[in-house]
Amino acid sequence: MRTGAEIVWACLGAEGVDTVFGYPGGAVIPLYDALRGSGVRHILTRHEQGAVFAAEGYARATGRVGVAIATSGPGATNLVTGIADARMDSVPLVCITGQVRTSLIGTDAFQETDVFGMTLSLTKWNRLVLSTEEIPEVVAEGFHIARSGRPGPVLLDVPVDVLKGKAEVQIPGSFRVKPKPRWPHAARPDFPAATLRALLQSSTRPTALVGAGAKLSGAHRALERLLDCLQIPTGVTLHGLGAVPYEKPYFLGLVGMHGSRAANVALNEADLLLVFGARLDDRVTGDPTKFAPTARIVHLEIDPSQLDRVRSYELPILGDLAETIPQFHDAIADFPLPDWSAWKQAIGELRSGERNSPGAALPALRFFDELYALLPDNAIVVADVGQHQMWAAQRYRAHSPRGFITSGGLGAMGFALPGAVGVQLARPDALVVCISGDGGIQMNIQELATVRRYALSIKLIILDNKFLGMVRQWQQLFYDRNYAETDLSDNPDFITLAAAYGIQGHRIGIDPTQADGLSVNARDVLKRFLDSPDPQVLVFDCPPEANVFPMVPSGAAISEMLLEEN
Amino acid sequence: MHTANTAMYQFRVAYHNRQGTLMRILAIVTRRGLDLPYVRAERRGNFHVATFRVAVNPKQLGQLCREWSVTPDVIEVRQPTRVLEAWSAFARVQKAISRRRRSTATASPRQAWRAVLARLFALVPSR
Repeated sequence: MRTGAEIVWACLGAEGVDTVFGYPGGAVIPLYDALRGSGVRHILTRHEQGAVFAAEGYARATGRVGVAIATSGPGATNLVTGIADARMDSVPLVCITGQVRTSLIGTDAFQETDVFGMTLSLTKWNRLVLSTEEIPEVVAEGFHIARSGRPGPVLLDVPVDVLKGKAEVQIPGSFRVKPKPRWPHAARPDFPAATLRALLQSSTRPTALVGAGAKLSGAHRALERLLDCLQIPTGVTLHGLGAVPYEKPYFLGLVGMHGSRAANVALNEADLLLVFGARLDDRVTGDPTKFAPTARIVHLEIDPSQLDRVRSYELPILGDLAETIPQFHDAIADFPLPDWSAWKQAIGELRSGERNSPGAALPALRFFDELYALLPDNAIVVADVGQHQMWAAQRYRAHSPRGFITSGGLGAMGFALPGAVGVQLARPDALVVCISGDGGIQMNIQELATVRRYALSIKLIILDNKFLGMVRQWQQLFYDRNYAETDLSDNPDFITLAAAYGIQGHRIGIDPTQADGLSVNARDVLKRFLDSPDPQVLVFDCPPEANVFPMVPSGAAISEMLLEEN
Repeated sequence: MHTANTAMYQFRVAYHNRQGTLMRILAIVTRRGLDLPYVRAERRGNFHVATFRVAVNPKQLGQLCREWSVTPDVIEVRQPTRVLEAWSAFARVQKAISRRRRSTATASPRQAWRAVLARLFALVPSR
């Protein structure tokens, strides 16, 4: 006979879990009591949101299921942002929350919340576990659902008496995989090779758009071979970064709101758009009624619910990209592709002639160029949310499929530092560079204690412009510079703050007398910062009114780009 | 809410009646701010069937069906049936009753309501 808590740990071990992130509390004391000897490493964060973001970072870096643990009530509610984030960005995640004992459920007991109800629409699946005996089945099914199809979050809510109860159970638990219905309009028994060839044959301006699906499925190599064959203009979404090598002649960079001009023009002018594992969300499409107006869309996607959300498709190809991309390649292997040289040349000229005036953002852009020039191939960049995230994405120059990690769909400020904790624990061999802003870092700055506790050699960069920069940019451009409540000029001294956590700090300033706007010692400081084996903080004093360009105003077509302030 | 290109559809979703499955199915509708004027869930052998009517536009129609189809524990999403005619008739009868009430109270409210229901169910396609 084992207790429910012992069964939970044994089930996690059976699922291959070696690390979990959590924060103890009353309802999960039995779980923590049984932790020792479980064979699972527990990472104590300093807030439940830190735990869930760290579990996400772990999952995003490895593709394995991340696990977060929190107590009932406030512990559980603090997980909610991370669960929503995992849902939006297709991150396999299992959250285990404690719950008041079963006899108290529904009585508004101390630290009771209906976390099951709260997370119904955010999770792929959730379960309130009502008996000790069912724990193995529920855990096994939860992990299966989290990692299958389009990955996503699962929540298991376990009352404290279920954790304390004893049962004789079989581990791992078994459950029946239920066959899923297929949506008749999208289901095709065979790969539609002939239709695809006909679409390619009749196209004069084909363009490819690559999203996270290409990386999640592990299909990036197959995709690269296919794109090498097609040689058509190719843009990537924020989560598609790293799926296509940046030095490829057909690579156009980021698409969408802060995408490159060439990438957005290619999407806008395309008559055939091949979408590889992208949701086509509003940050990519701009005004959906004006998105790729002349294009027929071939949408390769694993999740049928992502089809036809924004734009109707000409040809849906449902399935794992690891299977459908090679099928695509086979379909065109002996097929003479049309001559698209005029189209490729026009977009190529646009790409090579892309010279936006960075204005006040020049030092920030040069800072990122210097940083990326110094990063080794195995570096993983974890970006927070805001202007620094977009600059980091625009200047990103690596092609590691899991090398650029950020909160994309939800855009959750505060993700980066705890996310980097998870990444570094998953990839102790990698140089993990966490890039945050002065707003975002203060949302989870307590996780510097976690960095210190586990001696993680994370390199944290804070772009300090003393503003909530992206909101301020919108206020400047669209609200007559009414900088309402975005002024953070009373920020703490981040270097002193880092020192309080036992972490060394550095600073890079701006120097208007220099051509690139950076202080003369910038490269040396960056090098020292990156070379250190210890955790380090680097504050970059970013110009306060630096803006991210190009920019597509919210609700405009992606062809309606602002290239500079004037 | 009816708008220019919305129409009332009847949907049927078969599912395993496990914790929260029906709520998850319904939340896919309610998160879009759509009203659910009619919901019925019942056991059919080893599984359950939820039948409901929602006024949707063509894009929402596809989105709902696709989202239900990937919901865990959903077994089958049946082809939705348009029931616009029935609901238009319902609205016409309602209008007629309120006109009649204003002029002469010839029928009791109970009789009038029965007439509405009779007209309505005569027009709803049964599946």
